[in-house]
Amino acid sequence: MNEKTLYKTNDFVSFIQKSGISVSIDKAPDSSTIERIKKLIAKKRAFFEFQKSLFN
Amino acid sequence: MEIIEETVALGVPFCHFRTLEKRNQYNLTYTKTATPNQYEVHLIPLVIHQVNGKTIYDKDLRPFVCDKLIDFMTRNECSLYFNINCIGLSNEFLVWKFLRWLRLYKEEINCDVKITEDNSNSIRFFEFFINLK
Repeated sequence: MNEKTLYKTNDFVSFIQKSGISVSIDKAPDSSTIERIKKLIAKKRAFFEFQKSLFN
Repeated sequence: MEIIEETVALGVPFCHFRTLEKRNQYNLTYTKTATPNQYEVHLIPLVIHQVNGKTIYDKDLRPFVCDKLIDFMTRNECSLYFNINCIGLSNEFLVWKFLRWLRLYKEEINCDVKITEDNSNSIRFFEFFINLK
């Protein structure tokens, strides 16, 4: 992760915590969690590309 | 805000709209998740004009999106979900503005955030769960 991304996301985490929003952080995800997230990312990327292709 | 099309296609509700000043076009789309009464919301930038290399967001985008989300949750008696992987998909930084907007816009919004980090896979994954109080 690059420093800019870390800074921006850390800043955002601080903001939402100060706003009284419930935040849970998993810093040691198991393999099934990683797989679930990878699938969600791939699905979303495909969905974005599909939607954009409809309007271009 | 000019709504170009607002309908349900193949079971997917969406609103295609254009901002009045910058003429940017977005698609606000809702897809069902595996959780009952929960939709994943996507704000997809379709046509974005830049000024001097910078994207300028219209002032009316915030209240429009917030009103749409609150209206959708009210009409469908559902909760909303969205996620962001902070590595890549830079357009999605737009999406997390939802949360700032919603929290500042309407106090009746309840939100939980789950963050998953994994450096070896370059994942910093934010998941947002939103419902009306």
